[in-house]
Amino acid sequence: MATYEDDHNITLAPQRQGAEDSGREHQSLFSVLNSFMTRAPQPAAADGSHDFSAISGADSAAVDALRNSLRVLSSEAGSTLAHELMEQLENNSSDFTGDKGVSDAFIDDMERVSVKDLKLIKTATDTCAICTNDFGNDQYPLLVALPTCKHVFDLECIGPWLKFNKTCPLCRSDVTVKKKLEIAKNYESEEEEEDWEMYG
Amino acid sequence: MSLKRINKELSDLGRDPPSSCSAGPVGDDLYHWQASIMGPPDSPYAGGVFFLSIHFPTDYPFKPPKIAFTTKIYHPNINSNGNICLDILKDQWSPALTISKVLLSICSLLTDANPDDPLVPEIAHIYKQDRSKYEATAKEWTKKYAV
Repeated sequence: MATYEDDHNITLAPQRQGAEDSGREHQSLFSVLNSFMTRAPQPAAADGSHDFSAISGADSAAVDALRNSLRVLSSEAGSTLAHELMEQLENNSSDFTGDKGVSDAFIDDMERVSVKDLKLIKTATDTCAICTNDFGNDQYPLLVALPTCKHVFDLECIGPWLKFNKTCPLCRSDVTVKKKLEIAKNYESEEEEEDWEMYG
Repeated sequence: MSLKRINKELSDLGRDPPSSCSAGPVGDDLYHWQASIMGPPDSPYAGGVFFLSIHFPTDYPFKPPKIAFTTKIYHPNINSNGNICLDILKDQWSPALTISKVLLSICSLLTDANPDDPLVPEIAHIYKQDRSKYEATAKEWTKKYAV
């Protein structure tokens, strides 16, 4: 019996093979990630670090699959997280979890600073310490001041740094500390206002 | 981002070069540089010129550059492969640091070694127990490999 491919004088087999391959990769990304999540704590318990060299030879194919999937995510979808994970995988690094940074909400909530107000902030410099370009050079600058130390950076420069670090690049102070105090203060002042209403 | 920043550092180095170091790309690849450091006058490395290789990661400056000595040097924090034990090249890296600042830090590491966090315990031991022996060996290596 003539196959579909013969009837239409085409060769579908290689395409079908390709589709299967990519499908398998997606599956393995999740299963491999799952296996890392459940297995990683074992070596971590011994020396406090996740060591990919501890993964047995049988899993090396899975590691390759993970690496490939991450590469696709990183290059095609431009995922910085995938890029970070990939690097951790390559570096056999101890902080695979990547949970050392601040949340997206924290980054979104940072105080915006306009270029003309820069001179009013005494901790502000004329250049962004990360890209080393003058703030004024950018046609549409988007500057933020860190909540603790008020050091000013381009949002697009400090954003990626804070995703994996909690420190100011200039003074190393923990950017999350003041934030907590501010929240506490706001809470108090709200209470006071309520009190006044009660007596007024 | 990384290429733009590397180019900026290159032009800044040309405009305002640090006194005792130099750095620049090896060939067409801007992610691979070579640097040189003059042995600080108040150290046993005085008179020597030490070469280093610099490899920028693609996500520089969010990740530190990989810097290693290519000239042999006798130092408690630098091993025989040229690897440097310096906090700012590892967990204390900041994207506000530049190659110029890192090279200056390496210069001060040459003057003031950190024997309490050694990469070569044997040299650190001699540094602590018999400082003059350490200095003599460091001078000898400088003469042999860096002059």
